[in-house]
Amino acid sequence: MEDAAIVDLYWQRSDLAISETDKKYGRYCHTIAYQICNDNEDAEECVNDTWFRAWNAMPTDRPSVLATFLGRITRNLAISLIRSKNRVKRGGGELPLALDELNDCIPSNLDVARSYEIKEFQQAVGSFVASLPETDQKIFVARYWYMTPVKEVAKRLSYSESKTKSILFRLRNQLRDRLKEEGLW
Amino acid sequence: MVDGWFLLDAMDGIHEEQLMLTKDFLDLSDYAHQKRRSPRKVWVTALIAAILALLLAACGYAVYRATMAHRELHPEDEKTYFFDGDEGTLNEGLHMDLNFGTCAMALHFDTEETGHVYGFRMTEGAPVDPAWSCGGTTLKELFVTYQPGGVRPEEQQRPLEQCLRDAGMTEAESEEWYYSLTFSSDTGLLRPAMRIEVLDGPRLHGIDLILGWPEGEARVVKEEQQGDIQILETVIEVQMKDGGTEKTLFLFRFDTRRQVLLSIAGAEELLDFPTLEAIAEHIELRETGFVYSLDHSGQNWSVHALAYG
Repeated sequence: MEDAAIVDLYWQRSDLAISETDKKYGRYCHTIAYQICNDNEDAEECVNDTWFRAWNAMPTDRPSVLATFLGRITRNLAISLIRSKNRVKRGGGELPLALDELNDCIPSNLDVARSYEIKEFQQAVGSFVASLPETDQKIFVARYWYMTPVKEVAKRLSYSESKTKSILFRLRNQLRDRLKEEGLW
Repeated sequence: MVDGWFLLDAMDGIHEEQLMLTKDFLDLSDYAHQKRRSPRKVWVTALIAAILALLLAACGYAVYRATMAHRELHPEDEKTYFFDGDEGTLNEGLHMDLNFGTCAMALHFDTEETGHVYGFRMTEGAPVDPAWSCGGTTLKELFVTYQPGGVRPEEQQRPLEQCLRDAGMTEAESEEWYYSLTFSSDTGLLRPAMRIEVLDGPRLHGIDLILGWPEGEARVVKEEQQGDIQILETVIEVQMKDGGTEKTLFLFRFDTRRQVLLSIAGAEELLDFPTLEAIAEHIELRETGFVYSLDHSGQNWSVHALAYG
């Protein structure tokens, strides 16, 4: 079923909306949640909550790309779940590794007294990623949005793991520099 | 508070185009559930792994007993010298506590004091697996090979990949080399996954060179003579500051006729000896246009140590 038709089902408050969504995007959302939670039950909980959130959001929302609309909800739910349960170090998933890596982007001389607006950072990150070459976009987004293991990313590109890590390292440095250039740090 | 979580939230600003592009790249529409394994499956897998490990350990020990060699070499001079691979210089007085009991190969460079320096190039391009590169010294050698007359990137303050392109590499080749540097989480620096060194007669004229290591455990895996080439393969386990250990593989090939030592070293986690041997097979050593002269007069350097650590 086309995305527009699924969205229409939500707007019509049809029970089929959720089953069709689950059929089309269940695996996609489960994968996103699982990469973050590293636990099947938690991932399933996040996916079910995603359908609930989508049901509440439509109407009034009419997302143009349903996959990313749902994916964003799932990702945020999964991150909130892990954060609230304070289970970052448990389970050995990709989240603690990605968090450690992202610390590279934070300058050592950060002004701790200053308040930082998340929306400004979101905009800057969005334009930064959009400015990258296509392969770098895939690597960066796979790692820090989808939380895909480095090994998996490397395999898909037929790169060695060390090369992929090197590229990620450079991309993090570029992001840090870009945020600095834009006066966000 | 700005931390990793904050930046993780900031990733939500990534545009839909990039999310969809990556979704396709990761093949997420067909992405399988990561199912839990049943306890029985886990147990059986663990049992098979344990049996295999036991068999391999037994075979490994037998091979080790049969083939490993240990040498007792004693310096005739109290002085030892440490070869600094980065600077390309011999430094006196360092590594005086070198454990000569684990030294494995002694070489004598019986050449003229002045002569042409050797460089190298890959005869069939870079290996398919790009997880390798060269250290600073090696890159200079590479430049020499590619562009007689010399390129000195550190003096010209130009990006490394630009220097590589100027030295004759294509953009793809230079990127491949550049990206083959490995990120070390211990030091926070990029370092080569593999290091190639070429030491030749003019630079080490009249020196007896002992190949050894300053600390940690080492074992000789292979010693062989193939025509003019003397081959030594060793694994060195070095204690790191954080308490862990790091194993490095070394392949030495000494050309007794031309008096040139080729050394290839790499992290065990990334490389193995068949890979190092394959790379060595594709390395062509040749005289460059540079003439090097080192005055040893008045010094008694009867024993020198090439100490890697």
